Amino acid sequence: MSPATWPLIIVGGGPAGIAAATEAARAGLRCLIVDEAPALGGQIYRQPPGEFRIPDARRLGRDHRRGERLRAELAAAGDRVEVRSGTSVVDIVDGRTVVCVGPGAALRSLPAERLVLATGAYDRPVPFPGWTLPGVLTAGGAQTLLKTMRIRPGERALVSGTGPLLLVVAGQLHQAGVRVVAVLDAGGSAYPPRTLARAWRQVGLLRDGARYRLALARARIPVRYHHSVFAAYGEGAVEVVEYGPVGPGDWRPIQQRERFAEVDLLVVGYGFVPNVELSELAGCRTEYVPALGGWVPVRDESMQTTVPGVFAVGDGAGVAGALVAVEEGRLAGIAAAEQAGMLSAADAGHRRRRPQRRLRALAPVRDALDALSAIRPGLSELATDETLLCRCEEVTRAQVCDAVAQGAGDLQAVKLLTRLGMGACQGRNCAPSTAGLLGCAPGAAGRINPRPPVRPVTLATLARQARQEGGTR
Amino acid sequence: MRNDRRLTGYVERGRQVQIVVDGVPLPAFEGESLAAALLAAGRRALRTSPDRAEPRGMYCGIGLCFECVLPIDGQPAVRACQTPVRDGMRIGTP
Repeated sequence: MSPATWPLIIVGGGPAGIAAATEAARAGLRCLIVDEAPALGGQIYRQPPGEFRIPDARRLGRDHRRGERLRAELAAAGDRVEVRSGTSVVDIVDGRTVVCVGPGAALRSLPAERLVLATGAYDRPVPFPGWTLPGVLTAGGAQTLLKTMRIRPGERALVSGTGPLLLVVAGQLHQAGVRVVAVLDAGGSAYPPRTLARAWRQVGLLRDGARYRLALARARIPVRYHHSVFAAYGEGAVEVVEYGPVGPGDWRPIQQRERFAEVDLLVVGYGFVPNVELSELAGCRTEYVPALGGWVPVRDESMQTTVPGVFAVGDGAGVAGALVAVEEGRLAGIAAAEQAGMLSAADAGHRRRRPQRRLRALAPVRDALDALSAIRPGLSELATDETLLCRCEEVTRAQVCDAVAQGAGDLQAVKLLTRLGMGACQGRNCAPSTAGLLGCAPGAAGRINPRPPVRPVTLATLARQARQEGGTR
Repeated sequence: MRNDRRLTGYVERGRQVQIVVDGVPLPAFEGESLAAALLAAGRRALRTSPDRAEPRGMYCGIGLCFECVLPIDGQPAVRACQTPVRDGMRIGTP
């Protein structure tokens, strides 16, 4: 039976959330994981759906095995963990009550004594002419189709973005039989020898990237550094992509040297942006840290935010990858159990030692990766006046520039003047790029304040809830 | 099914079901998201944007961008990438 108030609710069932639940449960704390996906794993360890049969799991690769190991660890931690999959959290009220919509569109309020927010990250939106055309997919979207759905997202592809993940995605596309025309990395050659030497043992992504780099070389797929997509064209969907070199320092497109490729798939992956709406709705203070992907909740060493009892971990609290996410999750789970009186200070300190050591070991690799893939301002020149910055409300760059000329000094003002950020995605796909147009540091552009519900909820669902509560709340 | 974009090997798909897209029956497999089933059939464009009437399709694939929303079983604007197919599911205006 579910308790009236959960000792701990964990939002997000990716590596950070699973690790937090594992540590909390090991210490004897009952907890609930609420996750939007049909099964635990997050974007990186997403498994094929339960309806699919997997005769030989070894062939699904390293990420699948890592995910399985985490899930097994959680299962071994006992029956103190309940999981609600297919359930979206739409609000956090009074700092600690999770409002969610589950299967069957039922709205539920779940009070908790403590929260761990492990909400993950999403692909950084980089607007360019044609980025709204069907056939333009984010790296995350392409990977979901390949790894989870086992579907080839196109026949001929160009991959553009930054960082070693591009090589991984391109390698997976190639393996799936997609003809990869080229991989374009706006950054420099990704592996300075010293980074590689350090990373080799520790960071799966770099190692996977290096392995796929070899596979791409064998397949004669060119990897062009300091290159980027410039535009996509097509009638009804992508047919042609224009691309070319960018300045090595600022990534400014060098338009005179453009080339064209006929493709039906363009995969874009310019790093990730943390999902911080729920931290903000919980009342946590946030700060702008470019190396972590943008706005992130302020945290102490135990992963606690500025709201006591509310923890934030993993890519949703600062993009650093799955290995870091797991260790952060462990620290939050231990701290939550300690706060709940399930662990003595000494016992908690002892359990913290290993994750802390692993985080320290990962730090230098993270720094190197940050330096390689930090987004440069020149990319904002890809969008033309006619390019949509806000896909939901269809607001162009010209409209945003008009608003700025009229005196809009931050994102909230641009929103009020143009409707940018008022659509269903709540500004997730326009705020990061628009912030760069305001003529101030992105951190000074403010935020598009998240408004509940952070996922659309039908009026029927709300009406049903209101009836059940007798109109009170 | 021939000539579709489903990869063979590694996994065996779920039971075959039938969905109805704008009145036309389309085969799919249990476990697939609607967005995946439509893409497997070669449908990249899923809807037309309300203002500029431009084609849109799946973009983020993880439920955040709301580009793949479709009317599903009479419910407007449901995310195709987050919705598993069901036998008899009706997509589009009836």
